[in-house]
Amino acid sequence: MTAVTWPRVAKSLGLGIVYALLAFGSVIMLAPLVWMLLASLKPPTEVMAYPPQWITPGLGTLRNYREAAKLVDIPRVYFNSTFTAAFQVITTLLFSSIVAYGLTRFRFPGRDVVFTTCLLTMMIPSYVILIPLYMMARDLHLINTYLGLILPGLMSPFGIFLLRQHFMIMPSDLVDAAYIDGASDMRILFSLVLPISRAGLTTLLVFTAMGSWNNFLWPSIVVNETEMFTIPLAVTRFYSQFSTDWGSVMAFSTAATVPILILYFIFQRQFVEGMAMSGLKG
Amino acid sequence: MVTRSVRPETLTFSEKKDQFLYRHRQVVKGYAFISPYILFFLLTWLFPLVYAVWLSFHEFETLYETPRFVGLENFAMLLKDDLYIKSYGNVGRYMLVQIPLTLILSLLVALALNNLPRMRGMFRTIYFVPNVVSLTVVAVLFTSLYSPSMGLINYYLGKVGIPAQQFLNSPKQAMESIALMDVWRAVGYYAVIFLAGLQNIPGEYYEAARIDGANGLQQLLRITIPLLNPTIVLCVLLNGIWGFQVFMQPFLMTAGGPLDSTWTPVYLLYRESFQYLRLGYGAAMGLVLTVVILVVTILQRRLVEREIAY
Repeated sequence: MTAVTWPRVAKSLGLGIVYALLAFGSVIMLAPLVWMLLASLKPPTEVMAYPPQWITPGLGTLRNYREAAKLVDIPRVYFNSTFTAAFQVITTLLFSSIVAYGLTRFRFPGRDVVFTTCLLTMMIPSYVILIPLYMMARDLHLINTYLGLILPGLMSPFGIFLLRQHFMIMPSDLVDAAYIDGASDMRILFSLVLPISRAGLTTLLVFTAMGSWNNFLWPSIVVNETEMFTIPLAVTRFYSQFSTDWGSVMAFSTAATVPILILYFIFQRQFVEGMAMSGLKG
Repeated sequence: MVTRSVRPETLTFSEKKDQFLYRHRQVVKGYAFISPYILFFLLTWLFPLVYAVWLSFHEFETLYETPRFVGLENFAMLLKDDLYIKSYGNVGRYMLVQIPLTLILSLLVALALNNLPRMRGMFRTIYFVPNVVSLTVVAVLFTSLYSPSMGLINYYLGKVGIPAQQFLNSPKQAMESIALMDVWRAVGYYAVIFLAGLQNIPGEYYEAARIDGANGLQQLLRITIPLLNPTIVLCVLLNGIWGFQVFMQPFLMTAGGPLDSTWTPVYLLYRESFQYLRLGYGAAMGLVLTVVILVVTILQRRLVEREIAY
């Protein structure tokens, strides 16, 4: 009897320790964000008070948010970010599907070369082409325009790669049957191939949306007017190295984070898969 | 309709014609479908890349003058640019902290989660949260947490008896502090990747090992780690590639300081190109960085694969 229970006790003890450690790790993962949320709701004088306190008198005031709204046109900034992200998501999904379909369905000379360029662009750091892209945007008068914000993210080689992998495992009999029945290629793509590849499309959607929503470098180069700022640019607007209005920073950072977090907790599986896939992008 | 599997010698003339048309149509349709990408690739990748190479051989100091051909002068200047060379040392220090810590912690989290009877999904969701938050927000938030005099981190260090640290204000700690922040961001990400890798290891392996009398540690070292090898290599590679490209963290948190300890290759590229408007020099920096990343990736891949090979 004891020979059976002792390992069991040890095992549940070990499991208890594992749970405790994981819980401790969870606290470290979440604490900075909880701190940010609470700080954004403190009276401005309490935000960076020492010793720091999680709960301070007067917690729950929206004064920091009102201050932040004075510095930046928050609805406009949200619109800029959302519009850019939505546009890029739609074009990326559309074009990636069409191109990936072309790459899997048809045989033509140069097909493999084209696919290889797709992989190559995923390996080259985008910083190399930053200067030429900026000069092109300037020559085409795209500085401070939505088109300028959107253009480099109009399509994604990663999306083509991802969807091609999904289309490849599709039974070709099914597609051939539809073709023999007289369906056009576009029809096959949109009413047969894409509905089956929903998982890949969701992954790409989350990946593209997150990438666009959080992108800082390109917007910081192509945009310099406050009216065209996206959310990451606006975060830095409150923030300068020497005098920082921490209340506004925390308020705006929280406002920038909460919508994404809500979406994340609803669609967490899609988020995790979509973003973990970005590992392939390098 | 002619299927592709029919051998050509068994076809009649009209069938051959059909097949020719079919193949022809494949080419036309194929190119029609991929044409958006070809256009996009030429305009936003190939042309800019060629342009960057061209620029790197030119002196181009303000945006409006004509570029002047200077041959390899930009590259020669780079070799003598102490700050540029230092910037590689800085990202080296970053990677020395960030890669091993991320690797070990994310492996531990993945192993712990893999053996969990319940709440696995909940923990995975929590550990992944930092990846959802924009790096801009994270960088700004951690700047406040790292504050030497008012920051939350020094407050809790004080509670457990550790003296206050300077973090971002010290040239000895700034890069390491940034690296630790990025460990916080990356652990959940790699834990998810490792967890997927662990779940691909067949349970029979462990069963066989147990029957042979292997203990938990032996199973970990002889089965789990070797079979996770490809994933570990991927993790080290990705971290290395991203490590070289660290930019926003020092840009937002330290502005390259203190005492130039947090300049990175990409940050210098950004400064030269978009603050000093020395676009030719900036382009040369970008090309050198690309070559360095490619070379290190190849070397690292060989090295890591040999070390963990079984």
